[in-house]
Amino acid sequence: MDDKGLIFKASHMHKVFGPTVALKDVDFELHRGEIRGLIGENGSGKSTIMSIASGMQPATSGEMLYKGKPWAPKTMLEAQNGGIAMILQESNTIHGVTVAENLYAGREKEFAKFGFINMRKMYRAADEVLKKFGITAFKGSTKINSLSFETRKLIEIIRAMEKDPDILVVDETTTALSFDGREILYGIIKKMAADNKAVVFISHDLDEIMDKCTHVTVLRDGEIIDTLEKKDFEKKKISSLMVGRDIGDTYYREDFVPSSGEEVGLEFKNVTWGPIKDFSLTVHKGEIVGIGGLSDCGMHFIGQIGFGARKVSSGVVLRNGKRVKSPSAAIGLGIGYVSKNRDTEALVLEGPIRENILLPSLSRLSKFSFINPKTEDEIVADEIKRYSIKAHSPKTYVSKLSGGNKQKVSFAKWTAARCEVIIMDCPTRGVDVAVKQAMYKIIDNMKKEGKAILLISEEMTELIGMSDRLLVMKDFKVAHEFTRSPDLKETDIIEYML
Amino acid sequence: MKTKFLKRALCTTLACATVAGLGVGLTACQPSDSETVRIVVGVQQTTGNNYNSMCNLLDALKDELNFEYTTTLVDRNADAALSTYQNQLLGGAQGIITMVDVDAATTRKIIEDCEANNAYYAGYMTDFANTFANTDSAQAENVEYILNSDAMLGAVTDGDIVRDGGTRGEFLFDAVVKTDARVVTLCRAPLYAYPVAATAIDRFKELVEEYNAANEDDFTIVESVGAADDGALEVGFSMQNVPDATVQDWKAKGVEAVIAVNSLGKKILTNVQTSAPEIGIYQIGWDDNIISAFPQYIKTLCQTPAETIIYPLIRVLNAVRGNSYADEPADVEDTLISGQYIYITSEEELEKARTSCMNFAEGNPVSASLISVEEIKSLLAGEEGASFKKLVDTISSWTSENVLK
Amino acid sequence: MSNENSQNKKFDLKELPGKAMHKIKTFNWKEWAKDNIFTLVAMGGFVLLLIVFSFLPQVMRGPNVTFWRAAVLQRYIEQVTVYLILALGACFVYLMGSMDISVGYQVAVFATIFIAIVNAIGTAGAIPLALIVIVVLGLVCAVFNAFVGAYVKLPTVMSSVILMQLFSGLTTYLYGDSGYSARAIVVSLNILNETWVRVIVLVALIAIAYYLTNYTVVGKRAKAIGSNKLAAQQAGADLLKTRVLCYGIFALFLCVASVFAIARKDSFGEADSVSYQMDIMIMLLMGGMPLSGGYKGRVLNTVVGTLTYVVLNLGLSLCGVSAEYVFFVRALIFVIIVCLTCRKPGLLLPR
Repeated sequence: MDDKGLIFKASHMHKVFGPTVALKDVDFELHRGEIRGLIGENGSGKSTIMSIASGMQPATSGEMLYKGKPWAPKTMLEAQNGGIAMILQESNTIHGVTVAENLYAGREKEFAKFGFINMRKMYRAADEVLKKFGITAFKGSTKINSLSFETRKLIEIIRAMEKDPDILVVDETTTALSFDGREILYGIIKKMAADNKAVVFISHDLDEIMDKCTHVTVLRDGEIIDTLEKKDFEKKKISSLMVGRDIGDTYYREDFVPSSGEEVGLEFKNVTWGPIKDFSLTVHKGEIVGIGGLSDCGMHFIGQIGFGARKVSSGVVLRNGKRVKSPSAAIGLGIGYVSKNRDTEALVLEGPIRENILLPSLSRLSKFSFINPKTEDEIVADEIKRYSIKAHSPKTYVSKLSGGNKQKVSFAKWTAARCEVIIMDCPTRGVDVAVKQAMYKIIDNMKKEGKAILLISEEMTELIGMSDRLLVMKDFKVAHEFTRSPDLKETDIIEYML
Repeated sequence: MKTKFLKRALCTTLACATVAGLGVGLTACQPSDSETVRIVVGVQQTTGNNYNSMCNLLDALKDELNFEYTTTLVDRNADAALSTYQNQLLGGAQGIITMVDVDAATTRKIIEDCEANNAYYAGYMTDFANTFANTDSAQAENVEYILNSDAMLGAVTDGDIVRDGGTRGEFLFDAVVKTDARVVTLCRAPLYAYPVAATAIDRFKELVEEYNAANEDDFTIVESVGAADDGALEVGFSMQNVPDATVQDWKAKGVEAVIAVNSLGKKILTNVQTSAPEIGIYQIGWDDNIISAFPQYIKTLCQTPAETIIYPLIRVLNAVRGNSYADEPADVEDTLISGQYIYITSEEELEKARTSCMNFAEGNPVSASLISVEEIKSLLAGEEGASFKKLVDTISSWTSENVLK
Repeated sequence: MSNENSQNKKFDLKELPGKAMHKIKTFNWKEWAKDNIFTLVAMGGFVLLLIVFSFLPQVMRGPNVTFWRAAVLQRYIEQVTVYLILALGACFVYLMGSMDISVGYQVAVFATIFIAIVNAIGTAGAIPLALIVIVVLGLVCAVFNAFVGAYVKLPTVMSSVILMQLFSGLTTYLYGDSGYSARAIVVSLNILNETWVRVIVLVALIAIAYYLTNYTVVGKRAKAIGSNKLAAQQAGADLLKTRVLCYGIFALFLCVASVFAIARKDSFGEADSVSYQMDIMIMLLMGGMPLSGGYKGRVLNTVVGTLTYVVLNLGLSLCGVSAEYVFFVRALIFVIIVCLTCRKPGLLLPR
């Protein structure tokens, strides 16, 4: 090898999923000291390259070299032991056990004596590791179930780092992390690069990639379009490389004037549930109300309460003067809810696109409990067209779709159900820039159609870009309320969040 | 990759095994000429000395008597039994020998199917007489139908229950009176299933009274906790073992012998062996599992000779071939006959039985059979001197006295 | 892509790159085959058995023993009837990812009560009354099953364990001191034993089950619950309501099956249905029904599974396979099916 910095190389890599070509003859090189961003739309193949390198799936054809030697891991464990660790988009912790047991899963022997695992020793080791990463909020003996989704993600990162990998692959992880968690991850990435190791950072978030990476590789439709160095980073250029055309300047709403209808769409009246006390909020028709804050500030509960998924202990959620008591009641009243846990709550992954889209509309469509399949087909066709969902047929299982297309389906459910109030919890999580743009357009259109929208998000730019009113929550209370303005900055919000 | 390979390997192995299994199963029944009578034996289990003896005997007879047979598993599930027999009849069975008597309505359905297929039905070690007598009024019509069907060839019971339940009481009394045990307790199976137990218990009590009147060392009959009206403890079908508490209770009351008028030895043995080994178990029946406990804990054994299968076999062969005896009974009821029990109370008797009767002999060889192939052949209708009476007498002659001579 | 007018043109989602579904196809053969591989394997197995039994009995047992003759098909339908009715009902429970192991005992109790009522009155006029009584009883059980599943935070199989215990106790009580192991019915139900009646009823019930699973709210929700309970609830599926309805449909099928089971033998015995729950589980698995339920399960699985299960017993008997081997062969075929249909383990780290 003449290039001493080369750590990983893939040549003529090809990957086919049935009729779908995910990677077309891709050549990819990674050098030591690099923080390589991989960016591309959903289904562009950006996750596929690294999932092959980290043993999740085999390539259809092609070769890989790692540290100058042929590389073909059969399992993720094998790849991890070899030095390539991947942190996945999906949750990957073991439920019902402690943090320490998660950190040391598969390595229990190191703490065993005569076949018995010395738990205290394991907890102590875990505590030290956590301290090393600057985590004090929980300990090795903490049960994983008591931690939030975001915190669990952090544990996965630490677990991957514990093996001291030479290549760390971060796949769409930051959106699943809390604010603190992200800072920890960025720290880890910087340190890896400084230690002459390599990081592959797969993300949709262009700003984040441009901020953190040293190089960025853009993929489109299974091919590498270009690799840029930091000095050449330019937002517009990268976006157009990604989508293959100029996406223009419009991203969020174009207007900066707060507006809303007169009529009330959804009303929270002195709602109390768990840690949330006496919460009141009115969302008007044609209004987008944003709620932002740290992931554990309680804003996600607000969404669930608004949808009737959590029973309030006092106060009421009202829609047209009627109480929202349960999700089915909420749907009956024209309220939709896009859960932030897309794969576990918002979608039936092991079900066809068609049935997913129709699910909330069933009661509306049924006549004497019969549902006309023709009407169904029409609705589904409309929604697939509206969102331009990419799939072979409406009967394709949602599990086979890319992240963005999945999210489109979870939106389509509620437009199909003709909902007038839509509660969205992190609607653009794990979605690439072009789809994001499309989503914002859809949300804006919904507003124009007079729908009442409650937008809960951890992305400040999105909240600023879309909301007519923006509530910032901290410790289960509304800390501040902003109105739409072109001068609103992220820093203004963060001040109230922390 | 490895799991995929393993799974494939497992599937392949299993597929091969299935084909092999089918092959082995099928070789057991090669196609044969039209003269050969096809018989199906419905059994409750495919293990044990009785099953092995029966198969060995049938194997030795099939070429001489020109028949072939298959065994098929049938349990108390009448619905499944009906399907099984229907399928066998479709497969060309000409005679069904059943070891399981299902209810009258289902029996009627099977018999109707036999009639439609020119086939015949007979029982082996089943008690149709009892089943038919013990039905509710709704079944009367069905019983009537069965008892008038030409396809019903009768049945032979296991043991002397139809003619004389008292024999059992006498046998158990005779066995216990020889010993010093005088404090006894009674057990039996539910009476609706074994009405003979009532007669046996009555006879036993009668003999005890007679004995007590004539002798100094009186018998005492102790009642178990929760005993039935007749003073005997009812051991149900669902009970795996007689509970230890019961055995402890016997022990406390000084019981020396348990008189179990049905084949309950196995259910009593476990806890007696562990808690009160001094108590002797006097019972009716035989099980491969209790032989090792004889004669230390289990004091009495008895079983119907497997050779009794010749009764339904000969009746089926006669009927299929259109032969009948001169003294062929006109009434189906007269073809419901009783088998014999071979009673064993000592190791010497067991040794004798091992040489003269298939079920008791090691390996159940035909050489130990009570009856030779030639003798069986001579019982077929059409043979010289053959008669229904001779057939019944042969079965009846297999008493303990004769067998243990 | 042309850049003309891009300035003023309104943003349109269709312009997103990639292959979008321009034409909505409702059916894609290849994809369907892939999604329904287990169903296809099951159907293939059934056809294979039919082919094998078309010639094997003749080879093994002489030219008269053929599979394709009226008498055999008549028995085939007879033996399929009760099983298929039960399996079609059970399908609704299995679609939700639930399980029921009380079927056999429920049938035993319903059949016994039905006979008792009809016999007590003694005329055919009693049949509707008897039917109403067992339907009501069945629905009560359905509500119980649904409530335990929804509120007592127990896996639904537990409620059926409770029902199984309860009903087996009831069976013992109903038969226990009578001394009879079976009861005959005094009013003839022979019309139900006509092959054409059976065929009509089966076809009608298959159609009803197909309709309910594919074109009604309850069927669609049952599948959604089986695939993802949380998502189904968030899409407005009331767990309790759906469960009550599914178990209710099951109960109705169960009652119909009970009556057919009585008609078949003019009687019913306490031991006659004890194997039903296991038989049904095996039949559904043989038909490619996923035990986890969901969209991959369908009425077709139920039908194919039942037909396969019964033809296997019938065919092996025709071939003269003896007692020891029937179970052996059946068990092996079952293991092969389970091996083929069980999900392959992912290559991900333990979850």
